[in-house]
Amino acid sequence: MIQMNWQLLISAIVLGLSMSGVYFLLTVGLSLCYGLMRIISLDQFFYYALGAYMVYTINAMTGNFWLGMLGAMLSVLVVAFVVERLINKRVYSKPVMFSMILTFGVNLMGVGLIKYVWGLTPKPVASPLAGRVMILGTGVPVYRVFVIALAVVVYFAVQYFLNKTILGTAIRAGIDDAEKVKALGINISRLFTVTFLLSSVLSALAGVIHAPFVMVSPEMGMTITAFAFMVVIIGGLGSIKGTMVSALIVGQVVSLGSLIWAPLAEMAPFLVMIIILLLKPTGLYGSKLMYR
Amino acid sequence: MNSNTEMIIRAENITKRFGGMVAVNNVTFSLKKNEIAALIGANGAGKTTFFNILTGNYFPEEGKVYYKDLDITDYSPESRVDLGIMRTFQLASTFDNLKVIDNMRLAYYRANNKANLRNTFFSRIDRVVSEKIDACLETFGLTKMADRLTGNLSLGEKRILEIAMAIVTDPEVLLLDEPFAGLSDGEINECLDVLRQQVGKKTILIVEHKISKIEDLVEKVGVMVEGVMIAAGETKATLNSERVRQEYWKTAQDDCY
Repeated sequence: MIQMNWQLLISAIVLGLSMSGVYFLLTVGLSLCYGLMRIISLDQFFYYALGAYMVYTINAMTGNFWLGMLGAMLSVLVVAFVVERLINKRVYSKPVMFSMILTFGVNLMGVGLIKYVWGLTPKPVASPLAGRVMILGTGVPVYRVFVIALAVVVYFAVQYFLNKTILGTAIRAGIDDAEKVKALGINISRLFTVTFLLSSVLSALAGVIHAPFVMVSPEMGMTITAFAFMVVIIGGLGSIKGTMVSALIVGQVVSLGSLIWAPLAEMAPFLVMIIILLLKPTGLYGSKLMYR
Repeated sequence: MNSNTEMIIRAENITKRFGGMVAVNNVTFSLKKNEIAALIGANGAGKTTFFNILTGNYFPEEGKVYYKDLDITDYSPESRVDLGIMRTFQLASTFDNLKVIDNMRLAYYRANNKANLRNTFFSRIDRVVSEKIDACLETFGLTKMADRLTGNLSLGEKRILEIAMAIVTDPEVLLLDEPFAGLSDGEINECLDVLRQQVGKKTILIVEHKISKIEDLVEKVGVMVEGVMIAAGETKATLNSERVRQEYWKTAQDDCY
């Protein structure tokens, strides 16, 4: 009996970690977009759903999930570029409410488009990695381990990009003050585009890797919105490290919560968010600077 | 206004309105190569507006801005940087969440790579190495704080770093927006020392409302009152001229000296 509970615990923790991976990939873009452009980019949830649908479609056509992953990221790259150039760039210098309303509209439009193209029936995506690995005497699906590893790789890649490269340094400078970056002669609007595209591709990747866990449905972006915002708010807007830590917390709270009592899975993260915000209103790693 | 060729930056008959208010009224001002000049005036005299027209942050309704003989009236701030016109801000334009050295590297890299960060996705910031950066840090006394986070510097140190960031790009023209605002007397003197080293090497325009600190530094001064340039020319003569005595000193005695 003890043995069984132990295995349950291990597999719940691993499931929680893989959920954290999905949350992290989805929210790192939200955080970056707010940090640099001061927009709340709700259209990220459309790119997340579109990524999932693209991997479903390409996987169904070719039987190759990895090709689907690549295709999903590339197609979202194109869509996000068009949206950024035509729509989003118009609200960069406006109060944040404008971007929320505008990108929510883009999101709704996107959901409508998905319904039009793929219909209302949820679609299944088979896990590309079958089999289990043994972790501490517990059989864990390989795919979950892969998702965790991918999120870790993306975390370090994003950190490397922001902290070590010239472009990343320019983006960090822009997070500090976009106006001053202009005075250095740097084309800030190009930095904005790069950041937005990076965010969108990561959102698409979140949709792709999440697809085998859930049924791909038009409303999947809406379903995950509350959790994504919880991650962003707990971690503190604009902080990559905060986003990662907070994704880990929310993933475990959801997963372990449902182990204790199923309804807790939906409830517990909000409880954690309320407690953390009472203790630290800017989120774990957010600074007051971000709320100018 | 003849022999314009020796003028490096020249603003002619600039007028800028905000709604019904005329912030800058038909102002003409120019700088010779390697001249150091000041633009003074009380708060609201229009000097900052005029300054922002020189930097490209505002565009005038009337008048032209020339760089050498090029009409740059409609140029963006970024493209003016490409020409060699650097500015600083009233609040130091350093980046608090970057290390001191990375501030310098970013400024230097941008100035020496006109491709505007296009090919730099994976180039590493710490590979931006130049004797010029090291020399600049040394000159401005910043070497020992190179690895510190800029946010932890004092305002005076940030101001000096900001001037260093401008100098490291080797600009033709340096536009300083109230470089002494908010600094202690000691810090002002440090900033002045830094600026003195540049006299005769760079074309510099300082916008200030206190002339006392920079009277000995600048060769030329322009005085603005209520949007109008009431006098411009050699420092001593201008400050002692009848019109400046009457209109500038009278209205702004306590405020400006």
